[in-house]
Order: sequence, then C-alpha cells, then structure tokens
Amino acid sequence: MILQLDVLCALSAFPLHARPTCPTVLIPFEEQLYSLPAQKLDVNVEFQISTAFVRVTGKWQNIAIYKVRLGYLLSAFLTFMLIQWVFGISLTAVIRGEQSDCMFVLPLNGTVTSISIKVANRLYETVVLPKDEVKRVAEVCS
Amino acid sequence: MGFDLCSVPGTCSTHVLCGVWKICRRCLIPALLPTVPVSEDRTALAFVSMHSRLFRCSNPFACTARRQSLENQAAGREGVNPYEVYIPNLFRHPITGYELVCSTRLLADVHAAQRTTDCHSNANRVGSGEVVSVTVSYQEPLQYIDGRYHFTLPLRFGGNLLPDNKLVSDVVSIRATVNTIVPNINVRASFVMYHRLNVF
Repeated sequence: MILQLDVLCALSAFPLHARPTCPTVLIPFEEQLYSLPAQKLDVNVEFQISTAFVRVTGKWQNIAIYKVRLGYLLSAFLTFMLIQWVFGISLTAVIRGEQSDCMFVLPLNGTVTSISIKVANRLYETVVLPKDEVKRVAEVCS
Repeated sequence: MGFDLCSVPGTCSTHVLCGVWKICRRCLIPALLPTVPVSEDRTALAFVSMHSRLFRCSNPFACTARRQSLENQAAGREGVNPYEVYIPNLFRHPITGYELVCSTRLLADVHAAQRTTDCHSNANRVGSGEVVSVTVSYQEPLQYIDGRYHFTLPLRFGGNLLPDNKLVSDVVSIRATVNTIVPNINVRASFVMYHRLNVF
C-alpha cells in the first residue's frame, strides 16, 4: 500500500537541531520537520513591570492531501485482511492513515504555564495542580 | 533524484528534497510520506513498502533527508527521538493521538467534566484539512537594556509558512497591556518599518 501525501505548496524544513523562528506546528518526515502554514496568530501580552505574561493563540491547517492508489489499495486490503486474521490488528486502524502526528513549537525565553490544543472536536488542556492533588491525579492515571 | 524547489520567489523553499515529484501550476511540489511512528507495527508495514519504491536518490548527498541521516549516523545520533532532543529556549509539545486521548480522560476524571473522547488510538491525530488551534500561556522576564525593558517574540516566518496572498500583518496581531508604577511611559517597537504601533 502506498500512501502518497501531496503538499499543496513546498513546505520549509527545519533541521532537528535548529530553533524555529516563529511559533508553528511541525510535521516530522524523513527525520526532517516541515511546518504547517499559519492561518492566524494572536499575541496578547501583559507587562507587569519586569515580567511579561504572554498568551499566544494560533491556528494552523494541515494542508497535506493523502492519496491511496487504487491498485495498491486492493493488494493492501488483501494483505491487511491476512494480517488481521493472523495477528488480530484492526483493519480500519491500519487503513486510516490520512492523519499525521504534529508538534507545536514555540521559541521563548520564559516558562510555559498552560497550553490548550484543539483539533476539530478534540480538546487537550493542561492545568497546574497543587502538590497535594498530584498523588490523586497519579492514582487516576494508574 | 533531487530538485531545487526554488522556482518562484517567495513560494518555494530552497531546500533540496528527494521523493516523487509532481508539477503544479506554480512550482515543483514534493510527494511526502507519512513516516510518523505512532504505532510501531502499523507504520513499519507502510513504511517498508513505501521506502524502497518512492525514494530513489541518484545522488544521496543531494537529498537533505539522506544527508541528515548520514550525518546522524556519523554523529551517533541515529534513532534520536525529535520530541526528546534538548533544544534550549524552545518549547515543544507533541500533538499525538495517544496523548490527546489520555489527557482528556485525565481531565475528565479530575474535574468531573463532560468531555467527548474518541478512544481510537489513531483518531486524534491531525487529518488532512483539519485546523489545529493552540493557545499557550507563558511568562517571561524582560531584559533591561539601556533603561528600557525589552520583550522579544520571534515572528520571522519563512517561506510558505503563511497562506497564499497573505502578509504577516494579515495573520499576526499583537496586543500589549503595560502596567507600570510610573504614569508616563514610552512604548516603542524595535522595527517601526514592520510594525504599526497603536497606543491607546
């Protein structure tokens, strides 16, 4: 099965050891990182004398178009059916490859206090917990 | 095979990439492969079959990816997880399906909030056309140089990091509130030619 990913425009690659020059979302590929184009980036800064409290809100769109070639799809279907029968791997999970892992990067000189990531209707948020609640959270995780 | 992507200034990068190429109406575009190892077994199945078919470099040193791989091998960094490599002054957060699901469950349990979670291991990655909205808060001590506090946020967008026909000013907006202990302050932007500064 060949999954072909056409990118609508040539993406810029970041070397792993370099520091990006703007907040962005990266897609790893072939040991390189490619950035998604930014749709919107709002920066709200509140300066309290010598400390800046920054809130950055951005939107990035995955412009990659994933294509599955029909000939390979048929052979892959038969292959994965065999795999599913032998190893019990879900076929739907295998074929659903039209997604990518990403990585949000933000160059800064400070300390991140919270982050919220929303992808379609999925939401990921972080919270700062008191120390006495850490044990309770650990129990919930386990 | 290697191609130089820079055909139209401002639309293509100058990186030399390797892969299957197509001609679009504006420039040469690469066909990239999903190599993100979310699930070891699944990615390996797809990647092994794709790697030999699509990637043929006549000159391995013309291919950035291959060259990077060779450099990593020489430096003993082969297999380094990009999420775990330490880079100073760079905040990174992976957006993966597994972490999204688990974290959402965690918050739902702790705060007893009603949250919709998709329990498929592969369902929370970023699909084609989907928009990733990120809100991050951080605090940063200001540098005090020449009697002024300086705040710097890197916003140098490289090629193709903005949508077509859009400028940085169309995408980026900055709003600042200054709370000081003195009544009269002087606010400046370092690069006035690039920033339109409105004080109100």
